[in-house]
Amino acid sequence: MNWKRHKPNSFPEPPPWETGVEKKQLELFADVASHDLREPLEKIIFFGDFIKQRYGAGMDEKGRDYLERMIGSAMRMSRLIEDILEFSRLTSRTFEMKPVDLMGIVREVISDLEVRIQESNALIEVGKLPAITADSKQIYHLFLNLISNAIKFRKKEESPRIIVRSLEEEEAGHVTIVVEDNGIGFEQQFADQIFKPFERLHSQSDYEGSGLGLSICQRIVMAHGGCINARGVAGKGSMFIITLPKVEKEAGRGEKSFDC
Amino acid sequence: MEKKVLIVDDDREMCTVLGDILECHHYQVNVAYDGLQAIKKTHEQKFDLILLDVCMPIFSGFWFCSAFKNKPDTKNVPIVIMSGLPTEKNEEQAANLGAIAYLKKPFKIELLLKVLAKALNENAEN
Ligand SMILES: Nc1ncnc2c1ncn2[C@@H]1O[C@H](COP(=O)(O)OP(=O)(O)OP(=O)(O)O)[C@@H](O)[C@H]1O
Ligand SMILES: [Mg+2]
Repeated sequence: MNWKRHKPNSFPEPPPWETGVEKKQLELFADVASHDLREPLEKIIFFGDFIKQRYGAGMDEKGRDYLERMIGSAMRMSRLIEDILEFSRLTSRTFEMKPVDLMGIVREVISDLEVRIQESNALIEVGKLPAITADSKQIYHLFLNLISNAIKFRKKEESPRIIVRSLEEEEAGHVTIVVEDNGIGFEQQFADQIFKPFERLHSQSDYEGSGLGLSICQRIVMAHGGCINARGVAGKGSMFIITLPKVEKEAGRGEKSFDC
Repeated sequence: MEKKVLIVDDDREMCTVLGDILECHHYQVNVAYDGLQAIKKTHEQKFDLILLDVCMPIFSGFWFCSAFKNKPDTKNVPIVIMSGLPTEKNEEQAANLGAIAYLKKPFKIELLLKVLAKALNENAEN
């Protein structure tokens, strides 16, 4: 895989789908979703589950199957709402810039993903990573999303092998971190598309998710003044390349909003 | 002996269905639709466990959690907090306030029963 082709010095403009109007709509939706959508949904799940427990024995196979599907769909929707909320929270929050040790953050992510790592028999190799000035919560989310993806989009016949490492300094004052995996990969032509909200290349039934993870990653990286690129080979694996400034210049102290 | 559970939730429908479920599983159930009512009930009788919702008008579940934990008659009653709020922070806050467990909504009944049984067990040991 050739990652050399990306240019760390060309930090992209905010993508077109992140224009004001859509962002406002998303925020509005998030507000409504958090209160008015979630409550009835929780009840559908709850009542459904109760019916299954209480009256399931009196139903035939088909009835139980329908009920199961109903609960499953409602659960999925509830997860989707949560992801949208997360997205809007990350975009509206101001953030704290502090020295953070990327090594420590990646270790934290790995320990939080322990169950999934064990279940999938994944091997994660972490090279030496530098310290930078950043918002540690955001950077945590960045690696959480990337490493979760690397575990999720694994091949059926091969346990996942994931490498997180930093590259030689290519540009003064910047660090480049690579997260690569030996998973199912994707066609290179979709490398930009996957960063858009709700864009997914793989079916919900095979790999569940809402398609928000990478757009959150992109927002985080851009808000730090960096960039993120994807390289994929279908059937072979993927690689995500993140370039971040070591120290954020003008907005180094205090607050900065997420309007990139 | 049947364990006595107090459910505190401003959502009456939720109280009803939670109550039905727990009664089905041999708990003795009492409900309060807000924290003040809950405090009154805990004056009148002793409970083995309190199942407390976070998002309630006026005083939040967190507020009542700390209130219960500071009152001699409820200090040792295990409190299970349930909430649809994003986990991390709230789980931490719940633990800091002395709650024994945190249930993220939506949860399956199976999980609810497991968490309650565990909470009662742990509390009995101490
Ligand atoms: N490591 C990877 N290997 C192969 N494909 C990937 C990888 N990471 C992302 N993709 C593709 O990009 C799409 C978008 O990823 P993204 O993280 O935004 O969404 P998701 O993982 O499907 O859902 P979510 O992150 O919201 O749970 C994925 O659906 C998948 O098709
Ligand atoms: Mg993802």
